[in-house]
Amino acid sequence: MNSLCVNLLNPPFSHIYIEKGVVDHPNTVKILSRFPKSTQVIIKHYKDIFNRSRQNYPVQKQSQNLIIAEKRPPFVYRGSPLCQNFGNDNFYYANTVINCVYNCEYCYLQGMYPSANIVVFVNLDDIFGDVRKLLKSDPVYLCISYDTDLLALEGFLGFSEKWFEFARFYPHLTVELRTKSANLNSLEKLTPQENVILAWTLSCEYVWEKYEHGTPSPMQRLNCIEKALANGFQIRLCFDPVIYIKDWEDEYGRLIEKVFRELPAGKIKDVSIGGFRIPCDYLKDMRKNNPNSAIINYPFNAVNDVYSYPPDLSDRMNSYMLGLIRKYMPEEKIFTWK
Amino acid sequence: MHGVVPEDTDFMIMIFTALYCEAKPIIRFFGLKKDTGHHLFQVFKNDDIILLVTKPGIVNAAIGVTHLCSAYPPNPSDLLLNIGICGAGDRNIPTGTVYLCNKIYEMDTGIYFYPDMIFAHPFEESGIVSSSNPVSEKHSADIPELLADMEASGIYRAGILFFQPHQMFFIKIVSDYLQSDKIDSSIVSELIGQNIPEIAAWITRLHDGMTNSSPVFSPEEEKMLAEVSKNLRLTVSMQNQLRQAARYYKLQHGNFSANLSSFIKKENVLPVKNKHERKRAFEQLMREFA
Repeated sequence: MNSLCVNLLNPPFSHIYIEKGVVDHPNTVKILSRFPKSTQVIIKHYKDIFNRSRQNYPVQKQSQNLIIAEKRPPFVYRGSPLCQNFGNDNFYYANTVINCVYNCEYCYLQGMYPSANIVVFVNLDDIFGDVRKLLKSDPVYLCISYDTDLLALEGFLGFSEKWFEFARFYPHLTVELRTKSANLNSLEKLTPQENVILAWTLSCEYVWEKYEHGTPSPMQRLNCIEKALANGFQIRLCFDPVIYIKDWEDEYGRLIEKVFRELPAGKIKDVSIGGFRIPCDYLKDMRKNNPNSAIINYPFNAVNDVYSYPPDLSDRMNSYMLGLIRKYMPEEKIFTWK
Repeated sequence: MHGVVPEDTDFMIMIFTALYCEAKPIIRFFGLKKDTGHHLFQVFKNDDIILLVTKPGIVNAAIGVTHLCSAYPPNPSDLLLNIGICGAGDRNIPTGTVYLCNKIYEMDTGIYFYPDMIFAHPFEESGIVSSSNPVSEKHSADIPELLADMEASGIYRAGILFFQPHQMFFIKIVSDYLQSDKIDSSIVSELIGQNIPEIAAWITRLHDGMTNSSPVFSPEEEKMLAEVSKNLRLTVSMQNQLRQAARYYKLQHGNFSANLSSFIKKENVLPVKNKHERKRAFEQLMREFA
């Protein structure tokens, strides 16, 4: 059972589950003040609800609830080999939020987590503390918006702003905030910084329309990026994942042309390219949850427990994208995941 | 259930009550008939709904749910509904108030259970304490939730083996203020009876709004895939690869029958006599879906 009549559903965040230990945390109080009509349910530990057995991810995705919790150690993780490090040695990521308000059919979160509900960890200071410890020995490259879209949640969460404030004091810290949002209001509250990169994922029209449910259109994202560039933010463009679709060359050709027509290439920090890839276990769960999705049912090749396109197709897609982007950006600013 | 062969497994809503007096107004409202095939429990049903009276207590509730769900395994669009009376720890709550439980605390073990709260509903909401023994008023300060009953956690524990958390609903009607020994069965029936039209309208509408996703392959396509796999003597791994390629092709292009037919018709492919021929034929087959 994967689809439901919309009018039967509770609105998003109709229920907010709050760990007993963080009920009075200032971030909890702030979040709750934004949802005065939500039913509050006190819980012992977020995993009591997030990790329940037999949850239905697609059904929950249609009416997501919020879980407010305390992050326990580890606060910071080593970056995954499936993610690009952009030439940075000390590559880490931190989760202040788990799960996303957008519903992209190809997103690994559906295979990674047992629940579609959004978990917000309110004890940012503990995470900041761990980052400080890491910075004592080496520079750190930290991605903070992998398992969510922090900028899309900024309206009620304000965590992007807190990361910007934190990063200001640590020049050896480089923060990447990945997003698909077009949240101009939130952007205006942030102060551009050299060491904080706003990284926008960009997809062609076809992929957006068919598979990136609930996300801003490519044009809306470009408008937002344009504004961010004008305001002096460090901007990264991520053509990642590149998805194999019918007429993919035309679709992605049009996307690249549009991107560099709208944006001043000289102001862009760098660009990434990466074909779709995912751990085998995640994809198995995603296919079970969404058996009618064409995009995740592509007969991928499995190598070392990771599914990706067959090598010849992968190479063709990477070369094609690289060829297009090279027309606008110097090669040293283009990072390709292989 | 002894010697009963389920003749109809298409029940859509499974209702569990602890007592017959709770079930009585529900049986009357839906026009359920007694199913005499069940000797261990009282079971009532019509074409769409089946109701079982579990008898009071967490363990009885779990046994009742397991009994019925084993006999009639639910499908992904079926719903489980636990309806019953409960005690309230707050005398300001009027008797007859209907609650949908968003949290179930099992007093005996200290474990919490959480049904999904995905669907809109017209009732009040609360957590509930389930206890093997009745909770009395003098202990009301010790219970961590507003309501108390003797079945919800048992229903959840057994129900989750057959249902997903969004398919289970726990509806409790306040009958007393933790003085359960004083409740008359006719009052229980009256409390349930007063509220059953609203509960029934809600659960029926909910069920009507649920749809099962149909399988990707039609029976004819399944037959074709099985036939090709058999003729080519494909290994299990090859069969999986073929099914994945066919699934993707169908989702992208709508149909793959023509590809398979065209492959089967090629005289130089079938039948395969050895591993080498199988490998060659399989590669040729996969190219049909490229």
